[in-house]
Amino acid sequence: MRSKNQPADICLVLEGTYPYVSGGVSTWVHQIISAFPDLTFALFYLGAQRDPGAKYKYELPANVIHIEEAYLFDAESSFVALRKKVPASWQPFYAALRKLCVRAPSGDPHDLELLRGILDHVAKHTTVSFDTFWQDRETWAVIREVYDRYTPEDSFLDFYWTCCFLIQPLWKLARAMPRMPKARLYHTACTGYAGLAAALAAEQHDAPMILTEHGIYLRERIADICKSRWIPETMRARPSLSEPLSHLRQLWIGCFEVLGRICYHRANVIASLFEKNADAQKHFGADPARITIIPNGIRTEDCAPALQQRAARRERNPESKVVGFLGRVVSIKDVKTLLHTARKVCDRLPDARFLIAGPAEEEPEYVDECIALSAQLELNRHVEFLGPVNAMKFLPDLDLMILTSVSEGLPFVILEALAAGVPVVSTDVGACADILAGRPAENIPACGLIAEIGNADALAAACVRLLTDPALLDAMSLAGRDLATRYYHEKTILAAYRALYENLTTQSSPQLAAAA
Amino acid sequence: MAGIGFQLRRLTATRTYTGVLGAYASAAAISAGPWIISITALMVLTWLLHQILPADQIRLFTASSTHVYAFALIITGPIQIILTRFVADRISLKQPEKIYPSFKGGVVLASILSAVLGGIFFLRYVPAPLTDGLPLFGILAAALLVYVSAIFIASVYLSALRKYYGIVFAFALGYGIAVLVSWRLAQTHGVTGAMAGLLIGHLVLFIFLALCIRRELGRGKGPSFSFMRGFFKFPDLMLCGLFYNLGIWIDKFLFWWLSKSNVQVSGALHAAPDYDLAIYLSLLSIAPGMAVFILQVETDFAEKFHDYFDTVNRGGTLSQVSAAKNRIILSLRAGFNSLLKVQGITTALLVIYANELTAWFHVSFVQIGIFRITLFGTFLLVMFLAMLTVLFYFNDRRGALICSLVFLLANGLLSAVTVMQNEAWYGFGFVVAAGLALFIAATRVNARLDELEYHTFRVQEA
Repeated sequence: MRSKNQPADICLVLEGTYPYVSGGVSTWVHQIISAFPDLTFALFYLGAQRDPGAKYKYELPANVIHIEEAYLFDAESSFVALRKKVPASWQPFYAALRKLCVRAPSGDPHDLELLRGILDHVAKHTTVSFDTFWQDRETWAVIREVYDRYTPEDSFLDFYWTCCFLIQPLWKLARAMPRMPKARLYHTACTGYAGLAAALAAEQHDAPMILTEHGIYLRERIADICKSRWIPETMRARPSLSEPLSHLRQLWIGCFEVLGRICYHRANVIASLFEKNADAQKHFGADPARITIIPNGIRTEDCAPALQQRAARRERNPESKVVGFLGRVVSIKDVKTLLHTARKVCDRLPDARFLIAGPAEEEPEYVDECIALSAQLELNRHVEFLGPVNAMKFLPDLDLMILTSVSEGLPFVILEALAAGVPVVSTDVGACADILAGRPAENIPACGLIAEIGNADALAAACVRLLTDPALLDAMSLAGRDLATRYYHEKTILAAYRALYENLTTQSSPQLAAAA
Repeated sequence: MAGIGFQLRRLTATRTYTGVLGAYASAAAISAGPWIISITALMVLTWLLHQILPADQIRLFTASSTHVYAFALIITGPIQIILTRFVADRISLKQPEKIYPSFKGGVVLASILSAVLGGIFFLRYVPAPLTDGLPLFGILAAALLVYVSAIFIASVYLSALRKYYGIVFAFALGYGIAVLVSWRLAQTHGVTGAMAGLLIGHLVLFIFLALCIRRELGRGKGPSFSFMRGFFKFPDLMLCGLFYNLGIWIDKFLFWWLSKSNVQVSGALHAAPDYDLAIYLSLLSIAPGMAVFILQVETDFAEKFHDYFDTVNRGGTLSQVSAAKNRIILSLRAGFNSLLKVQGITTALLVIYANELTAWFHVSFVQIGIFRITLFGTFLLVMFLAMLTVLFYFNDRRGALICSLVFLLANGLLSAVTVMQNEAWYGFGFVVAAGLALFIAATRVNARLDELEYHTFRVQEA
């Protein structure tokens, strides 16, 4: 690694992903860093709580010159002599805080600028700990004002702790900001805390900023908040049908909305994986003019051997009916629906087999439940849990791939399957429907079928249809390979990012352009 | 999926606020009951002994027993308050099995301290008639200190467990025996016999209390001395217990040693007959006020207090919480009103009829004057004690500490000043000190109530 003082070309701001967590975003990050060995990268990783046992899931390429980590829900530790009270000199801070609390719902970027000043102040005045701030009388006064303004009919206890859990990570983030690596360009992989951090850093160093959203952070948070039972739906004095969400949930969502708006507002370019996500970004306040679509891509030529092996295998046995799932065995992938689907498929096609491949360590309870469900559905002869596999050795064995996720962006696994000539049956999530529809205008027919989320009957019907029609299956196999090679090749995607990096940095810093 | 937002779920652990600490709050007030019984018993006993023993022996007896009580209160004050807190915490944490061991530990700790202090004081500094060449009187007095301390420790458990009738009955029984046996033994063995009788009465009382506690709590399990961590965890509480009890006694010590009419009873044992009788008599006057206040606190106030925390925990809106707080304020106001009325009338009647009343006790003219003043002082003291109780309820330990420190310093300083003057000034130090402490305590209570919501949520540790 080179000196930390030297600014990196790109600083990637990452929340709960690379290099500690594997998944689509991390794959993409690793791809970008590895693709540009001539550019230097710094990483700013935001996590919830430090896990001393956590290990990198990736080997960091040599062009990563600096990595900083911040944990937003860790207990505060400080060696500085701390104050017991918030000093009187914080009056302007409280004034700004009050103003922000009043104006934030407007979503006006100029009002949201207030947050920057507030966080700046927190970053600079480190003698006041969060606990001291939180327990100060002035803070209490602000909390009461906000409560009276927005949710005077909700449980005050819940409101109080909701505020605490909303403010604490921002406070921690502000305190971590001085450690943010210097860079000529900031690139974040989501809105939320990472998006805010990137926006703050870009502003501070007068650098351009890119946001690439794989999912829609805000939508995911809203889903979390709506289905969570941990935000109590309190008894209200005036229950009303027109407000299905409690004020507390609205408050919670509102805060993530504010973070999202700040990020959208500051980002010079907002990259989206596919059209539907771009629409969502517009809905949440992104400027349509800055949105550009850059999908995920893979090196399709790496899948060529798999493609050949698969074709050879099918030639020997055109009646083969092997359906595969490749991914982490976790609840968001809805493996249980997959098992129900398998049951229904096997009822009609007794010679069908289902292979479930992928790491199982993330949600061990869920894995146990799945194995139990498989036994309960008497699928032992039909379903096999393989654990982690090498995709290129796994894909040739499949006649069909199935994806039952309830939430996805643009899954790499679909691209790999298509490149290896495996048609896909997928739930209608993320970009799946778009991809599998093919490009009829460009003479590429569909390369898979789509079913409703959680609908085992529909999924099973789609599987049966393809497994019983080898001609259709083989047509889709060809279409998939074409589609992947032409539209989802890594080089297209990397070229797009390269161009973004160069265009943005030429405007602000000629050195990078020279380096590039 | 990027993002750590979903991690929030782990952090929203259920938080609830409790007012269980009320269990330890009223203990201070409740301990006044046994205190009144013991003063009465001692006065009755002294009156009985007048017919049997010569005046100097009576003086030795009363001065010794008074010192025993003073030492016992000062020694156990800090231990009592820490133990009460310990018991309240165990109850709220649902660890009842740890309560009984702390009783044993508390008794052992108080006994050791009492034995050391009592042994040194009575055997080295108080010459007394020997019995068969042995300093039996001193040994008995030191033993009495041990038992009185143990009894004070025991009363913590009974009051925390709300066994008021048990306490009153046990004390009545114990002191009944003490008076009878003492009176009987004094006839044959003089002052040493009287002291032995007093000791036997306390021994019976302690055994009775200990049995009550064990029957109530079972033997439990766990370390006996873990409560002592409280001395480090709540130094403010410990000091509050120490200062308050020192404050109650400091004027007496000053009068014993420094007043013009003080009597050296024997060695370091002094007395101030003028002042002592007046102040003990007036201390008896707190009974009605205390009874009324405890009744109000235990019934109406405690209910409102728990309602308040219920409102918070059950997800009440801020205006509901504030309304619950206002009900606490109303209840407190009602409590103080009745305290003021009852104690006011009692004090007024006693001041007016002081002459007639004190005639029974062979009280001199000077003592009647002091009695009238100290009556007023005890009136303020009762109010102060009530305010202190409220501060404990609201866990304002710092406030309680400040008030008791002010009380101690003011009583010490002002009593030292008045004791240098003539008899006309006696008692004023106590009055002003109690008044000052009451004023500060009331101010703290007001401030606390004003910001009760803030303090409710601010509290991170219990």
